[in-house]
Amino acid sequence: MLRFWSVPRCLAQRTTPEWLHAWAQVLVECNSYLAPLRSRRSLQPLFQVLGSKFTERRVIEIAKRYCLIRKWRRYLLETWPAWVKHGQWFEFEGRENLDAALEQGKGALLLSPHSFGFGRFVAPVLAQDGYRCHRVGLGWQGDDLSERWGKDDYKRWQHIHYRWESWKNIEALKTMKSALERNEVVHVSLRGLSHGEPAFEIPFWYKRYFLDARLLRVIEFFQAPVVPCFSRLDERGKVIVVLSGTIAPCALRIAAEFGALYREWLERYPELARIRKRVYQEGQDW
Amino acid sequence: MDLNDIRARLETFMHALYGADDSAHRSSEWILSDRAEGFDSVVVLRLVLAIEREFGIVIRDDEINPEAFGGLHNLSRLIERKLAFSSDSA
Repeated sequence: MLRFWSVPRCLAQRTTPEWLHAWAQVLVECNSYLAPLRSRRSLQPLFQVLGSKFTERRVIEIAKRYCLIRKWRRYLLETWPAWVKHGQWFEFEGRENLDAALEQGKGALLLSPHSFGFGRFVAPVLAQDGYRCHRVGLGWQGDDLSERWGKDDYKRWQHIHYRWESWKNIEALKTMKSALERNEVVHVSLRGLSHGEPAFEIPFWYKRYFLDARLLRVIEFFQAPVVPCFSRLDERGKVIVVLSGTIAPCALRIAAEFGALYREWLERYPELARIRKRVYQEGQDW
Repeated sequence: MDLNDIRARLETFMHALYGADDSAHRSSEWILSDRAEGFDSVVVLRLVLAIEREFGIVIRDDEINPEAFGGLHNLSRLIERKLAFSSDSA
């Protein structure tokens, strides 16, 4: 097994983000020629969400640029960097905001929008830079990425398995609380919902959109400073992680300040929001 | 500490934790229910942490369920079992 992975690992270590990005785009292009119907079907959610804003040609261009056709982005752009040292693949903007939050001694809650951009890499990458990190998520146990990102240089990060049923996620919440008390970093992603409390609605150009009030109340309970965390892919194929200024741990303030940032990112990079699939699949519920 | 002592101590600090009017704690027999208004993970977490602190025990995830936390009697029994286990292993 080790020998099998050693060849792609060796290749990965010699690959630049620019080269991989270009190669991924070629594969996406080939895919759309060789399997046009399946490619077209995979674009339907994107047409549904972006169709009112862009022409069909522009939507296809966006999809190819971000390798959104089928699962190429995940196969290549998200898996490949897991094999290498992150230096050339990830860039952080605003890391001083995270350091300032940690100086308060109450830990730091990195807050990302769920299913947007490349947030799942943030904890392992920060761990490689010496931070003690925890990534909270659903169903990541046994995930191939989790396995690869969980070894060697990345062992300073831990996945906290969170479940939505109130009775079953107490252990996860206790683990998060202990980590914050040790002044560590906990990375949480906040779901967007089609229904919710009016105070937690954020303006979204396509549909009504609500932040998950339950998780906001959990964050409020922890009383740790909140650092908004967004990520995107740039034209060189690098993942740019942007850490914004600290927000006080109050549900309404998070909804207002994080919501405003989220709106801005949704407006600028709607193609990075994987919520489009749910918007498409759930139709009029959204 | 016997079952009655645990129950009395639990009643006292539950009252302090939630107050008499809290919807999650409407009577001394009925503590937590996911049907109650305002019920969520934070309500359960606050109670679990308070019990752990008060009695010096650790409650595992699989012990946290509506049966164990749905009434004062069952919760007292759980704490009694945990206390007995911790004194046996000490």
